[in-house]
Amino acid sequence: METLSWVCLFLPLAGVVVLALAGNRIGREPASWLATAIAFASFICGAAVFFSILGEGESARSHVYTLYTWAGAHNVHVLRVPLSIQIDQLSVVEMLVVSGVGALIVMYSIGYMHGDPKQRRFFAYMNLFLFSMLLVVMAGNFVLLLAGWGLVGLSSYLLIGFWHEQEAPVAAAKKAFVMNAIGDVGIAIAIFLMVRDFGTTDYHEVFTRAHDVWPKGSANANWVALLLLAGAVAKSAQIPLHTWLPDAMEGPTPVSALIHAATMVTAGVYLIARCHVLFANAPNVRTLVAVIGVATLLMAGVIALVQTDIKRIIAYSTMSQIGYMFAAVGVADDSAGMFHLLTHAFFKALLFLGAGIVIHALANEQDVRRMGGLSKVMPRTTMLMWVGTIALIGFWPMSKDEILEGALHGGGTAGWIVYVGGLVGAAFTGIYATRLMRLVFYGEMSGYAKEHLHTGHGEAPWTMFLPVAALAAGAVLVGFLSVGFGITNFFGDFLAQSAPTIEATVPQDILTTALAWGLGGAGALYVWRLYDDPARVAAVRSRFQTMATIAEAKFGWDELYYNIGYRPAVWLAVTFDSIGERWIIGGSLWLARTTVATVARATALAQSGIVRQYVTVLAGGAALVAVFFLGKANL
Amino acid sequence: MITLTVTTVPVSWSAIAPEIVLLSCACVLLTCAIFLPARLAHPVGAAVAAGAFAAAMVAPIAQWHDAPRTAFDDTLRIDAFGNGARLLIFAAGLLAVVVAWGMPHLFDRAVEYHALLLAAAAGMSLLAVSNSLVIAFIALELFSIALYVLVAIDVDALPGLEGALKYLIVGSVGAAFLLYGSALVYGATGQFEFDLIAQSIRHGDAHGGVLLLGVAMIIVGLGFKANSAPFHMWTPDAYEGAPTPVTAFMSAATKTVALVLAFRVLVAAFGEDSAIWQDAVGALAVASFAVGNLAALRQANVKRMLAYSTIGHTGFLFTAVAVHTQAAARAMFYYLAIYSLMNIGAFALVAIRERELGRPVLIDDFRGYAYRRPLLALSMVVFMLSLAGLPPMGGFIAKITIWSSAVDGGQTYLAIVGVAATLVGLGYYLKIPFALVDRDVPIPESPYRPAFAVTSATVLATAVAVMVLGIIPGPLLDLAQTASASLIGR
Repeated sequence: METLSWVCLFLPLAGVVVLALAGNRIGREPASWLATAIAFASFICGAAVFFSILGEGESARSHVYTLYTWAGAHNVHVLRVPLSIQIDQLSVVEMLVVSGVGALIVMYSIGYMHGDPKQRRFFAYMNLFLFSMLLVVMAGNFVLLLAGWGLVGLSSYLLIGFWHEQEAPVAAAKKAFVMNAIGDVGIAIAIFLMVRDFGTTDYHEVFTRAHDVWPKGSANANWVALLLLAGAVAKSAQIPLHTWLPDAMEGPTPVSALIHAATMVTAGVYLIARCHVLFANAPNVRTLVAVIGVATLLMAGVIALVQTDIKRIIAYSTMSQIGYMFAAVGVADDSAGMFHLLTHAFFKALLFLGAGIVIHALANEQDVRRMGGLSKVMPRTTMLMWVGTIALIGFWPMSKDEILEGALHGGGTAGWIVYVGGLVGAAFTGIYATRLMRLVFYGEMSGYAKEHLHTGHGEAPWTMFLPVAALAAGAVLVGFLSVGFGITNFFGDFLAQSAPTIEATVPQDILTTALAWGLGGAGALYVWRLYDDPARVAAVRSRFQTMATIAEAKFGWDELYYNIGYRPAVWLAVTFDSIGERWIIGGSLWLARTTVATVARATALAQSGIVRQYVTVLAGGAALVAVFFLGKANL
Repeated sequence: MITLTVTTVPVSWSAIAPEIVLLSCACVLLTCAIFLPARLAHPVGAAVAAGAFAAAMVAPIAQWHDAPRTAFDDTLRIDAFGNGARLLIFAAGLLAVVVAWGMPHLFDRAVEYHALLLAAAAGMSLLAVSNSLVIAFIALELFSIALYVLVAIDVDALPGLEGALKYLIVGSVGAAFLLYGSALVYGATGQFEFDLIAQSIRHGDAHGGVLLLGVAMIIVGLGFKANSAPFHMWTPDAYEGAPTPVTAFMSAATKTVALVLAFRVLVAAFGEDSAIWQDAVGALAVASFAVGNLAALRQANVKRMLAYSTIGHTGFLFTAVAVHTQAAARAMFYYLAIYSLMNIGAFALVAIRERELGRPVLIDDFRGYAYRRPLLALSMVVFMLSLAGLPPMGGFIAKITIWSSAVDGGQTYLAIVGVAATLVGLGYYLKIPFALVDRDVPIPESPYRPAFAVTSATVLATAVAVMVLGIIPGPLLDLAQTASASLIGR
């Protein structure tokens, strides 16, 4: 199992190295297939690890494997950061999601990126991402976690800005990178605190000693949780560091599906679940997690109602769904959050890839208003998208219900905020998800669509279609892992050892499911009927004019950051450049350089080449040393 | 009535096995040289020398984990500290053979070169394990005289003769200081053996003027061999004038043995009164930092620049001596190993370039070299970055460990001066990497004479080692730990 784990982790890295070194010597198609094969091989290793963990006793499912410890091992007081991984229930679930969904999306990319001049580089980046993400979920200590955390940020940056000949992707990539850097700094400072107080960053030791070293509710406990939360919030696009995610849709669609929907953006949820001990130690911060989650899910749900770009609608829905996951881990129902993470990875990747097929077929058009009526020409895509939409609204799999049930059962302030906010959010979800389907696949086909639609090779090549179908099947099947109502809760039981779980009662299950289905279904039906008549749409819009304006302005976050972040930063930079850089730094450098140069000239001149002088200097030095020593003598 | 009793000292062959191997091979070479045809002189000499160095390594490796023991009536102390130094010296000798192999045009006297190299290494090897001021002086003279001749081995070259003469004159003064100091110490304590001197000091008056003057003079003598300022002035002339393989060997092996002896004599004989010499050694370190790094900034000749750089490195090594904890000894050993590798590597590249140009090498001669000999140029970059102390090279770990031992040992000021010296050092080390990638250089009309494959391969291997030992320093640090633990406890 140890070997399999390391192979699972390092296979994608090997892929990167091979693809990078091969360069032009490998064809585009072989390069794509190589990357795909590597991703699948990694998944097979992950699956093997999963089954061997299943075969073990419930209490013996956590393993730490160390490959190498860097120098300093014989100095006991030196901080040791071994290259070690922790394999347990939590990480193995993530390994399966990352490598499994990842492999399907890499395969889909073969068709999607076909003919792109930078196809090879794209696949190398995808493998780099897979390695980085596996490092995040498999790391056995916080330093490796941060290394993976930074590397996924890098791959995300590279892939958002993949079409760097255009302006928008580059700007979006930079934005994502800067926002994530803020979170990275948070984690780094948290690590510093751990090094100071524990002398180690190993998960196992930090978590077992956390209660003793940092008493519950103490300042340190709160700070660490808060700093880790900063990292989680940035990576998972939650308020207030969420503004990069919609812009990240400038990247190729498979990237949006893999990184900005299924895996990387949910890493924040994984981080909080992984560090549940630290968050349990800081109850106030945990409540803050729940509040952030609910605020984000509502805000993103509202913004999604008015978006017109198909990918941005799905992006805001991603933000909203991650809000649900944050809400779950915020009320200490981590297994429900992880279950939603799992189902979301399937259905959101499915929605993105389906949207990708549509975009592909419509010559890269992304505006839903220029689509319409596509169900007639793309029946199979429509069917698959319905599977995703039903999952998104929350009919099946019932992972969202589970979060709400846990919140209801857990109770408390946070519980009620999550419950009520989550139910309202369910209605929004029903509305925006159905609106997307209604606008894209039904109604009249737009003039643009009629003109540009090309489905010469069917709806999509099989390499694109097969992964989408597999994701749809996965989205349906994964629902059976945890049905609730006392029927199955395999997932919760499996995770219970490594992440806290709340088991709601059957009546609570029934009530919550009824409410969530009712609200989601009502929203869906409402919007379905609404779009029958454009006049009514306009009427509704004018009734909620203020709200719509705010939603279209995305609640003004970008303007806020422009004014409080960008402008002061530019002012500071200009000021520092004109005063600090030119006079203080430049001046002191000039002074130092001149001084050193002058002294150096003098030193070099002292070397005359005359032996007499050499011996004189030697004797003089010896005299100085002798005087120094005799000064210590008690003559 | 005076009774004269002659006691015979029990002979321990295993204690001096390396010296026996080296010296007998040297004798074989010298006596057989006259019978060899000229074209065979170099191959035979190189083969015998390489074989001797390899064979000499056997004993130190075999004894590596043995507990320290004394031999020849307490005049030698065979421990991992000395054996580690021996291994470094023999490795340097092997590399010097390889570097010389790359420039056969220099050697009309190949047999003598290799014989003298063996003799010098034998002297150094003996010095590394000496436990007595007398043995130390004899060993020192053995290798010094061999080196005086080696510097001038190319008798047709004036710079070599000039360098050798200066080295001889100034060196004699330095040796005189060491000898005089030893005599004074003997006068004060009545002992030559390091542990007995320490014992005698413990029982008597450690602050007697005679004893202190003796220690002062020993430090001067050691400082001379270790290229420490202000006893450094022979270094640039000797290094520049000597044939490059000799320079490479001198810079690495002499430095190693001088530092090992300095550490051993100061800790083993005068360790109880370290407060007295600690500041003096620290002051010499600071002087070396300053003189070496500042003067190096002004050099155009690469060998001269490296000569001043070696004075600067003495600052780091003397830092370790001043700190004289076990951690400092470990750091010093790691430093010496890396330093030997990177310095010989750099000189080997100078030798290769010298052969291509047929004249002394200036920094400007490396302009655009990266586009003609990419692998060699890359190795040069590795050596320069390592000498400058940049990660991920071994030189970085070497400096870091020295600094951390200085801070832990309460000599923080030496770490601070060392950092400043490193900053200045960037100013000249980085000249070469920049020159290497200079594109505005016309490609020479005639192609270069190709370098010898063995030499090039060794240079590359050395560069890889310098880098790998920087990334994975653990094993070498463990060896250094064993060596340092055999001399001092915590």
